[in-house]
Amino acid sequence: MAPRAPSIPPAPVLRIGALQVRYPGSERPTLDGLDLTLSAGERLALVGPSGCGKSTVARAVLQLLPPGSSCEGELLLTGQDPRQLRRAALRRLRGEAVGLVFQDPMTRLNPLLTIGEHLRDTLAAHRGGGRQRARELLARVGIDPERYGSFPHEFSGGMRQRLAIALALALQPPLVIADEPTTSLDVAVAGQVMAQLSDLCTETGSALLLISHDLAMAGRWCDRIAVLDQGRLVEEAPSHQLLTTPASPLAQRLVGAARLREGGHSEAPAAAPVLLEVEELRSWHPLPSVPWQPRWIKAVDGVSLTLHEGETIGLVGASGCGKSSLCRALMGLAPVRGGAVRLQGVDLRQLRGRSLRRARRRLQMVFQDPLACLNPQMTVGEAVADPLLIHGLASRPEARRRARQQLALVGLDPPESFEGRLPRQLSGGQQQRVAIARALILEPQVLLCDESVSMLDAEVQAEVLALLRRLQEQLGLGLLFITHDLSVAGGFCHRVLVLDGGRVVEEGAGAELLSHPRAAITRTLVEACPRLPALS
Amino acid sequence: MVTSRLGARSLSARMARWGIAIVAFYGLIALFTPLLVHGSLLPDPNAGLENPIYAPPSFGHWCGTDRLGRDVCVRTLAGSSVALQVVLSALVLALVIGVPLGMVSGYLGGGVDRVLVLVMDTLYTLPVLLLSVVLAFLLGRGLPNAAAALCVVYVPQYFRVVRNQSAQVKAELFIEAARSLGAGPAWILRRYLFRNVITSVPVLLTLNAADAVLVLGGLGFLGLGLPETIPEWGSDLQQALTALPTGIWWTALFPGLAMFVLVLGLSFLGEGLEHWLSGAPAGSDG
Repeated sequence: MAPRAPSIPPAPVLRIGALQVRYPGSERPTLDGLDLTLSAGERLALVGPSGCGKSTVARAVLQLLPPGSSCEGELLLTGQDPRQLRRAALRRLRGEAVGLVFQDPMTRLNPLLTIGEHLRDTLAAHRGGGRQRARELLARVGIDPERYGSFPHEFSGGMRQRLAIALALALQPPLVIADEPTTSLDVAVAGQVMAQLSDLCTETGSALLLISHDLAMAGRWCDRIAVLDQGRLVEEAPSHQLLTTPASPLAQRLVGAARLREGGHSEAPAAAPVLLEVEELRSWHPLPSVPWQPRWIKAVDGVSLTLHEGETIGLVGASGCGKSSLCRALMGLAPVRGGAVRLQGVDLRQLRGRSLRRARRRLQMVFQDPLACLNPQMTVGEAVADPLLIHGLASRPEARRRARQQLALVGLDPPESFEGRLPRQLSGGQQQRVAIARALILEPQVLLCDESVSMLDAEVQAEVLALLRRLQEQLGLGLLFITHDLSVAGGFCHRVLVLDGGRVVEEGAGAELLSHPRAAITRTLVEACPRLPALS
Repeated sequence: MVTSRLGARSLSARMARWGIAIVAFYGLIALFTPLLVHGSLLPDPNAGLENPIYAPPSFGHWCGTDRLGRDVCVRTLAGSSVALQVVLSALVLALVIGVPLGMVSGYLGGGVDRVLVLVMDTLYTLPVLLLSVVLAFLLGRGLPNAAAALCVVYVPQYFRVVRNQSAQVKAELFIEAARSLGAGPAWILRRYLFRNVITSVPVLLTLNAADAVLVLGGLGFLGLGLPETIPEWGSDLQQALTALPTGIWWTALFPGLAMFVLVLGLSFLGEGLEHWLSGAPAGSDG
């Protein structure tokens, strides 16, 4: 048994002093003299740009570093140095002193074990405890104990993450480390999961170390925020103070980017010509049924909207509300059952074949996952030039020249150093820039962005949004911006439509929706969405 | 863990090296034997009238002579050229037919896919040798005919591999992204699908080549495939069989050995390639 932190005086659960970690084969230490202290029951968020060493802290604490890494400095977990422990004692320390919640729960669960077996495994490895205790734990995280025998694949992402929380807290550890626990979940579910985690930590008196790139979320759930940069602590302050009056330049930059992302509101443009008119659009998918009694999934069920030149419309909603289906229906990737789509006065549903393809050039799309939407075998230059070749608009050398211009336009400068690379050799932000360049090379009037920034970290998000806004001003684009993040939609879009069950339930200016939500679903989304504290 | 993985990699690397060496050696023989025969530096593999019959290996005839007095050594060397020609043309033909069919079938799906899969699976259920024997019998003897008979056997294999890969890649987002840009099916097949599905073909190609050498030998052994005037390992083995009980081993040993080593080399090359292709991405990522 790991010794519990004595109640008086409260010794720190975790003390890190001048910690230096270097991975094998890397020249620069990933953590370079980090100092951190976490007392019992305290909640600390670790934030910082990608690659600042946030996740390495968790690995160092649990001694899960790859063999050959060096780890020097002070490291005390509940008064013990994990580096000094033998294997059996270390294993006990890992489960009983620290619980870990990972980013993607699916990959951390064994698909061949039931939910209950996962819990019993953890319990049995440490202190025993049977089925009864496992059921209690399930009930505590809001999973029906009757699902004891279910397998991980039968659970939704949110339920899996709750199970991961139950596993981490099964042994009531004095410290819980959550590494980006909600990144793969949608806003409403993420809010519930974080609430659950926070409640359980309070209940068991565990300290929480939350690793995140989302400042607003860190501020909402943690008492203190520590900002990391290149393996060093650059600032540590109470959440409210850090988010309102950041002292260090990096914290100022991060908070600034987060405010830029959600803050500001966009003035609606003056009366401009209509680009896209969608009227009562319906996209239904057939379900297996008898022919005289057809059954449908009504993914989009009568959506109307009008998009003007230079305008941005935000489409928000919980997952499964039909926002992506609407996008796919507009792009001709999903079946359309009724309604009309008029692009600059031409009804796309009346066109077929070649003329449809030509008309659709004016309507392009940027996908959520930039890596998945680029051919892994095609270089960046080829990928951007390809649309021109598809439509026979340019010869090969001409297309290559235009692709280079386009790469420079989206800020990949100089284009010569990017065009020969494969998509996976670029960072997430650069990949999304390539995807945008590719969509824009056909000179579209309307750009659909389907969750185009949700996979990027906050600073890169702000950059990509600024890029989209600049391109919109330069080219007079109409943007249809699909997101589940109300704060982004509120700041970035001129108007916001809230979708639920395939219908528009609310419409209005972003700031107004955020302050006075009317529809129930809007209220849920607004409440779930963590926001930065207002500047006094 | 690390050592065992390194061990496996070095073993596969060694296998690949041996495979390349052996196949290159056969390639050189196949290239130079006809030239040397033409330049009278080697005897004609079909000429045997002035030679003793069934002469054991000696300085004059390194591998002895067969029942018609033909030089076993030259016949064995010439056989490698024939084997490589037939196998290569059969596989290229199978590739040219099987890969596009597989891509179309996997990408389009629906009725076309179902019919093609049914036909190919039916072909696949027939034993390789039986199918090629029937085809060789129907097509008659000759080099292109033998290649065609072998090709039909291997088309379903490429079809299956490429079709399944295509059906999988088809669901990837980048295909949908290309469709949303307005790319038609032909363009997607050519620019997006091809390079992503072709990766598993080289391994299959070398392993099939090893198999095809054996099937060609089997056809020759049954008196099918190539005309009698062309020196071929399978038919030579069949002729050697009658003399084997009387202690004449050299007519059987050398063609058999040649066939064995070529199959071994091709298999090594295939296994090595497979390790290399499947190991390369993991190595570059980690």
